[in-house]
Amino acid sequence: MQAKAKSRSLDIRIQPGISQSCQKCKWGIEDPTDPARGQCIGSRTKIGSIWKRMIHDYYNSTCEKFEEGEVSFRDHV
Amino acid sequence: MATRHESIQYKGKVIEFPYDNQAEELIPDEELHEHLAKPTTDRTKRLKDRCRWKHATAGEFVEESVRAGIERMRLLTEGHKNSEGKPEVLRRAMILANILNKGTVVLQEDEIIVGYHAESPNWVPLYPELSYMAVQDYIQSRYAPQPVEEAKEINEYWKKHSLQAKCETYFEPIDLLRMYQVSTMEAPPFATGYNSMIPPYETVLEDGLLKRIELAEQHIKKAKEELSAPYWNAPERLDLVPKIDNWNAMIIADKAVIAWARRHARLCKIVAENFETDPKRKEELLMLSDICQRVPAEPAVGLRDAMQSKWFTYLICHAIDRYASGYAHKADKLLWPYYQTSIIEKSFQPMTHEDAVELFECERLKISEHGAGKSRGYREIFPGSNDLFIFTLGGINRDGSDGCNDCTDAILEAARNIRTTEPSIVFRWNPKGRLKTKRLVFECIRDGLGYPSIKHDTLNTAQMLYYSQFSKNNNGATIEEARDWANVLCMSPGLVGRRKSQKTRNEGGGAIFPAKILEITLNNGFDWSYSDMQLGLETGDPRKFKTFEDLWEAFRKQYQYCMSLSIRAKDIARYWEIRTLQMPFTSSIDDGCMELGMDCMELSEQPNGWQNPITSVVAANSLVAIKKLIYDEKKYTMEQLVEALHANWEGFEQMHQDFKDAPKWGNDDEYADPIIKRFYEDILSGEMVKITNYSGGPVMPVGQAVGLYMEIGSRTGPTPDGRFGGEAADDGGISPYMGTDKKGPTAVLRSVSKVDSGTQKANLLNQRLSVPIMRSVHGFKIWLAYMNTWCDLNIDHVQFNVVSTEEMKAAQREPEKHQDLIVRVSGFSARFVDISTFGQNCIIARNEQDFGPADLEYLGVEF
Repeated sequence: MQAKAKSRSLDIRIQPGISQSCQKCKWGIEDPTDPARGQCIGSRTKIGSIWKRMIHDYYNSTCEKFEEGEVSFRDHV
Repeated sequence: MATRHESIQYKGKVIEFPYDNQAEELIPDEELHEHLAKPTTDRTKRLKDRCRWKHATAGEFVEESVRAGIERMRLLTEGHKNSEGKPEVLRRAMILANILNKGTVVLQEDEIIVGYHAESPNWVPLYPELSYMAVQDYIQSRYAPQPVEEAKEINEYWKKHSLQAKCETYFEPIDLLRMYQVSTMEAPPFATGYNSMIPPYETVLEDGLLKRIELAEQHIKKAKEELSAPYWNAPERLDLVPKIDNWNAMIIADKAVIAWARRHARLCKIVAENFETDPKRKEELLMLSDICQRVPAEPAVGLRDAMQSKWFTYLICHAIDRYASGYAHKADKLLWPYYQTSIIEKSFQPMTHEDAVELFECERLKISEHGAGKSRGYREIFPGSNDLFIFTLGGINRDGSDGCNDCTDAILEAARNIRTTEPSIVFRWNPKGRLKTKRLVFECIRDGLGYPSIKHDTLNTAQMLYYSQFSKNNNGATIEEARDWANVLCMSPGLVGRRKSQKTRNEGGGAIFPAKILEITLNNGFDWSYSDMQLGLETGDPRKFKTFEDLWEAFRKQYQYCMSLSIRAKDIARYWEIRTLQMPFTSSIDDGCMELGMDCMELSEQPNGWQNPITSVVAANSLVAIKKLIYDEKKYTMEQLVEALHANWEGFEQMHQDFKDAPKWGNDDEYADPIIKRFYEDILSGEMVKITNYSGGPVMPVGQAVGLYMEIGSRTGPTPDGRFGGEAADDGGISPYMGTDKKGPTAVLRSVSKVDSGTQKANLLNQRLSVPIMRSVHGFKIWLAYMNTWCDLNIDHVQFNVVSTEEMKAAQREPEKHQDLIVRVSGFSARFVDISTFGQNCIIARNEQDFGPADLEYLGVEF
């Protein structure tokens, strides 16, 4: 098995200068250690847990699921 | 109506379970906890009603009014700039003095313990000298200190001076990135600013700071005489120069603390004489003025003195000089002399036992509104609570006699009556402990507070002696000192007393996550599910592993890499703490630092190294399933497993069921338990103790969970125990995975007892007990038998949830009606309605242990 065997496909792509960046998305939150990075919390499991995905370039990444708004703490981990 | 437990046929008798308090049978299960709070006085009821809670969850403060203040960071920076060119330890003392001399002094209505550490009791201070990333997060948030441009400028200044900046240069960018991920290991304290410590409160209460200043002056005088004596000898005397700096810094810091306390005295007097109209409150304010004028400058005499002096010391050590989580001290031992003076002898500040209970309720409310300016990461991992405020009670005294006293009881009564999530309590369980106090411990647990958590007194005292053998100056704990310990945070013990206590989290603390480590081991070190990067070593293609041992050894290598990196990071931080983050006030109140002229960041007489494995049971259960289904029974191949995991089990339903059905921890299982015992002893501990930290001792595992079991679960893909990607991990260091302990409470105890407690520094056991059993007339008898068996089995720790599913579900439906519902998450208690729905569901999903006839027989219960 090579290191790049498989990665999760959530269609997050880097697009420098994108206005609908993960940082502005409802499902994006600052990485709790390094706020220059981010986390996607949009992927939910059947029992309601969040399966997170790290966003290395938080300010220049986006995906098709972009949505404006804020998530209540009740919907977090 | 409350649900009554069904009768049980036991030893030829029918045992009924009526409620201990018959009136409770009329209270519906859904609202029990809303009937349990009984504040001792109108004052504590009012203070609770207006308490400025600072609960956080998912990285956000629950209360709208919480903000970050700018005052501390402004005065810190001003002090740093103004002291340029001075020896660093003197700079640190001058910075503290600048904050204390110019910072806002806060006095609130009704209080009988005064003092806060920011310009508003709704706000939290920030610490840019520790981590610029943590402050940056606040600046970007809705809690940003104002004016925000000034905050940005201050943080920019500290980017080059902060502990984080100093430490980062010693690591490759890839190592920093791996640590900052917080998925195989916790980020180091230099990146988060998170810290813990045990202040030596004893010297402040017993000596007073004026005496400490006098001691430092005597040391300086003697040192100067030695320096100027004939026949100069550099190797013998040059070391006196930094010692003189340290003593001078202690004097500056202590004088500043005395002046600050006396500012509170003046404020109380001004308000009493000019503004207060209620004669009774006026009298109280004048009393408080007198207390703040005398302590901490002078020794405490009565209980009010002791409580105020302790509070001032706490604020300096944990919030003003530097942030540190925790509230570590052995409260009943520390306060017993003052309880005796005020309540028993009534010779100073005379009061009744009920007055003492009120005072302890006030202390709980002060802690409840204490503001921790901690990073987002730490606002995520204690959901529904404020911070890890934990103190310790019980155990034995230094001379080996029972440590429980009437002060212990007053503290427990206060906790039971007022019902706050903070501070949590640890009770040291010793067979010598008196029954009266154990009954109060039971009542707190039965009422669903989730605390006290219980620690095995004898085991942990022995551990203090074990660590003492590694003391770098051959001055580790004596047997008397080893008996004087408290938990540093939620799980790990450390010495308390006049010297040798832990002063930094770089000695012990920080987590490692075996579930994620196993995940990347199954992918040759690559993290496919969260960060999409090489997160660990390349330990080989698991599909080519011929034996289970190949996998075991690959895991070992990944684990060791994370451990060595984590401890290296902490020790490098310690190196810079010694040089730039001295704590002269804390040093001044430590007898060792005072005697040796050393700063407390540098002096380490008692090693106490540890790291917290969290998510261990998910990893262990996974290894059991792999061994059974792939290597022993050969029902599946590793290739199939890797494929199924990468599909999050979708399309592999039967395989998923088989892995889920594989034997699990906590069922006294002959197949699983030996493998898991070996996992704890050979890898989790075996690899950790090979590491030596700054203090010269080994690092040992403290298995626990806090809220990280959910947070790390969300960053961990599907695992071979049958867990789906993103689901929570296990909720305690050695606790069975939620819902998989199916053979009753005593089977859990038998499983857990198989791991040799002496190989672990601590291990959290989370259990949920039946409400109708615990509240029945037999509740105390059954629980006591359980605890005595637990003790006989040499298990390190246990904590309990006693809350019904009905009540938790009712609180989900109508949160506003359930503000007093408290649950134990793991290592801390939380307000249930302040937790995310997912977090709530994880607690509901825990198996509620009932006691059947076989359990009762094993425990030796007689009716």
